[in-house]
Amino acid sequence: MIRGVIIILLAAMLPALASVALRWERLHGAEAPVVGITYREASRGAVLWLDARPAEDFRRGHVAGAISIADEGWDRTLAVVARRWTPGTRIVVYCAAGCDLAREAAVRLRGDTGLPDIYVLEGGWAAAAGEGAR
Amino acid sequence: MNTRRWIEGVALVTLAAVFGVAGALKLAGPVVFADAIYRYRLLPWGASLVLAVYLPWLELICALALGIARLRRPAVAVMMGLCVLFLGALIAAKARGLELSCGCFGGAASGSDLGQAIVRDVVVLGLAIAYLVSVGRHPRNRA
Repeated sequence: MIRGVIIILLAAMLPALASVALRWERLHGAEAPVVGITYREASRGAVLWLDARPAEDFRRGHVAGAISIADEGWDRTLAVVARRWTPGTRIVVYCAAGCDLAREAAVRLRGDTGLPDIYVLEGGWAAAAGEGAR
Repeated sequence: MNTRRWIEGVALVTLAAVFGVAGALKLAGPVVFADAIYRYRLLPWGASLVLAVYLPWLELICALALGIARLRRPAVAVMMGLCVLFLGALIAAKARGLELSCGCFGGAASGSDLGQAIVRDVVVLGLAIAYLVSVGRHPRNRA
């Protein structure tokens, strides 16, 4: 039985290795996706909120302690992130519900900082406001 | 055909179909499947990619091994292990309130109802256990 299990586990490795060899460039160049996170889950630990909406929307209401990317500009946002981020802190980017600004900002931030725990808020500002994040 | 043989037959056909189809569909898009694994937030991206390349082949080889008498029981045992692994990941995702596609049959086409995926996984796990128990009780059938 155990011998059979080992044979099967090893037999699957051969085509898998061949597949890696054939698709090496595609696999090697594949970037990790930016993952969504709910407001409740994000709020459980240390979190640095980044608001990717236009400045007027930010002034009308935002998650407490959030940094407005539009207000600060990209370079200053990076500087604030570098100053305030500590290991274990999640960076959560949000925009209005159903917009791509947060995802674009999160991808750019990951590229510029190399930090691992960068998320996009699921449901955006609408979801956060619904949870009383103002 | 007695009940025992009937159970074994249904279990084998279902396991072969589920794992064969799941493996074949995931083979086409390893990056899409890696994406689905990564969204469970249990593994880093690199490990998700490795698993996304290996798992579909393992599922497919298991499905094919059911056709070889000597490898039938080991194949079902591996399938059972995979079901337990998938079930753990699904329950962990459900408990954390994650909204994601289960990735059971590749990418987004798998749907996002984790509860449904858990039920499906429990049924498949039950069939694998039923087969192993049934064969185990009748040593003459052990391959």
